[in-house]
Amino acid sequence: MTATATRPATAGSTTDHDEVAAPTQSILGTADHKTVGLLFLGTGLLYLVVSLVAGLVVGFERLDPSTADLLTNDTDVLQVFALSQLGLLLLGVLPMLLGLALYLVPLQVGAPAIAFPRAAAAALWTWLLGSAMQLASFGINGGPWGGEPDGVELWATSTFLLILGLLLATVCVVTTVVAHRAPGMTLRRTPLLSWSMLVAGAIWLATLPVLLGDLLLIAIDHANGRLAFGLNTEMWGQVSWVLLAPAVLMATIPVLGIAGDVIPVHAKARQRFHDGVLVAIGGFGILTFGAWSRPLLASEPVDDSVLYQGMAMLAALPLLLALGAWIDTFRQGSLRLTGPVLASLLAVLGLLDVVGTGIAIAIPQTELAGTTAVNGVAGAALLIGVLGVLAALGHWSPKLFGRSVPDGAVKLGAVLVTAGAVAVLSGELVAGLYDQGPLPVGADLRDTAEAMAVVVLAGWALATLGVVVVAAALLTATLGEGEPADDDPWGGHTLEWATTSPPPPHNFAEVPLVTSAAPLLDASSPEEDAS
Amino acid sequence: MAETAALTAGAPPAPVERPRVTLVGTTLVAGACGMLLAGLLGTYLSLRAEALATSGEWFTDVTVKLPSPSIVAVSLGMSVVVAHWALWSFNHRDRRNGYVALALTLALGAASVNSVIYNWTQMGFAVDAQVQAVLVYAITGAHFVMLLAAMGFVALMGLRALGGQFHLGQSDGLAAAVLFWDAMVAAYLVIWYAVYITR
Repeated sequence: MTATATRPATAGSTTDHDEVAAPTQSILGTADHKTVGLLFLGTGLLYLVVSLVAGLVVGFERLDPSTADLLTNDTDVLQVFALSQLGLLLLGVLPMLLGLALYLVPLQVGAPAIAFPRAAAAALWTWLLGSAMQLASFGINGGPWGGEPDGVELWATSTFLLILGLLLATVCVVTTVVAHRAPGMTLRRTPLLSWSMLVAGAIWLATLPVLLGDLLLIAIDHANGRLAFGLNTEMWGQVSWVLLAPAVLMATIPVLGIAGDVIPVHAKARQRFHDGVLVAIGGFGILTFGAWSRPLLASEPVDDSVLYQGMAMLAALPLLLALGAWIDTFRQGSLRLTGPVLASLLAVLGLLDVVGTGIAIAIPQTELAGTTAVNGVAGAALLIGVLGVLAALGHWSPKLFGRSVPDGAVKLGAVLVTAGAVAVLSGELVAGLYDQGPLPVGADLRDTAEAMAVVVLAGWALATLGVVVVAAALLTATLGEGEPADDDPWGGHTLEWATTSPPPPHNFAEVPLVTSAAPLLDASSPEEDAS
Repeated sequence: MAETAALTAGAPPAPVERPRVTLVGTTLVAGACGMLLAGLLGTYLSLRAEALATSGEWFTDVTVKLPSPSIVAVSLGMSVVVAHWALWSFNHRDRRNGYVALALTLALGAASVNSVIYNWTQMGFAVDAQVQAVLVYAITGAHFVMLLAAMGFVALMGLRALGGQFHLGQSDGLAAAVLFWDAMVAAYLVIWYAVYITR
């Protein structure tokens, strides 16, 4: 397919009418991967805040589960719980990661456009339509546990559309990495963000369609006999597997790629054990495949299976391998704790914490499986995804917006989100040890679990604050009249830094020839051994 | 900075030869469709095994007949041969055979559509009566959509070939359409065995 992403400017032919129409047209009619990526990123950030606020409301209700305070009844609490959990994944983290990928991956691989640019635009509008319908469905008492049949079907349809949009965008990103790479860029030389998106995309394409199938069963059964799949009380159990380990960890795969691109650049050193990091990201990706763990497939609890326990324990190995490579990279260069580096390191360490908790849950003797500890893993894993996005915003903001996000805001946001993730994880873990169930209503809490509900609420509040801080700094930087960012303020290693900030319509005047995993570093220090 | 400016200045770059893009994208879409159907079939087989273990029967109050699904299997099996005949013909610069084969592929697809709908009406399986019906309609319905999409894809690529958009001997778009067609037929054969043959 020929990429006709952006109409070339024709100097001297612009009329007043064109000047008025251009901004609307440039958004509604665009197939430019940069505009589509930014729209995914911006709306994802907005919905992330909505989902976090929903999490806060649920956290507040959990303080005293015997009564509904902010909401009117238990059903409302459960619906807001569903909105916050699925919203974090499908409205917040995955769209933001895909937005970054849609913008950055073509630049990283030296392509003039994304593969299937019109499909990428269609993905955005499908997802946006689904997101609006999703909020509307909850507004009319739909969603899991919903009392309004039309609302429940609207929820199933909207979730179907959300996933469809995300899958379509994933196909565009993965195809770009596979088939649009610059001459000389073998898969081993692919920048780590692009490589991680290839791995994550493959896992998302293998996992999310299975969720589509579950939604299909729910929609058909709910619209007809409501025999099993379409029962209001059964729906959540059929879709919530995507929010449990190992499946929920698929949202953290690109975080490793972001850290892998950020750390060497800021350490002013070549990535150590580059191939090892590629293998680590690939291995971690494979271990996050969780479609097999759906309750509809298993007659016995999945937590008791050797496969589940083995995957949970093995997931730590690739993370340790990658972390070791980054520590060695710092040793070769220097440890400059910039905002992106801090966010990346906290994300990787936080991910290790999440995986460690997953191991604890997988050990049968702890009896944590089936308790609210699994919510802690889900919440913290998704907040790690948010942390990765913050690191990416700090690092690539010159390329994305032509302005730099203040480093202090990124650092503050990263610390707040990390503190939030740790509080959510540890609070839910301890509450799980006191046998608190995974749903936020109907539990007769013991004193310690009640105290942990306060910790979890504080965690969601800190995470929300962290995201708002970075979002506000981003808005101020992009809408203000600050200094335009340099084309390559960090001394980047990969091709996206070889073009202007922000890039021109077709990204590169000529497709560059790539001879290593860090082509720009080679250009600046040709005497260094590229191996 | 001067180097950067030089790198990005001027007219848009010349397009690079990217023969695999449509094929790669189609492979990914076909894989995703396969996972959707695999998930549904997994649920179906799991629940069926559970029912057989407890009550000893799965389809109750309904007779699932074999002839119509088997006709679909045979039709689609033949369509794979003619779809590859079309691709082979275009790759060997034989337009006439290519168009005949494409028309036959679409005709066999249309015959399959007809048989699937006929089978649904013959089964008399009320979707609100049993969980089994929900599963059967979800699986066969999802595959039906895949069949329609494959027919649309082949027709589109056939029209493009007719319009001369592919160079003779290099028809990647058609290869992608045939790949999706193959995936659709493979999926049907699995469904045919799992749902209709083993019952």
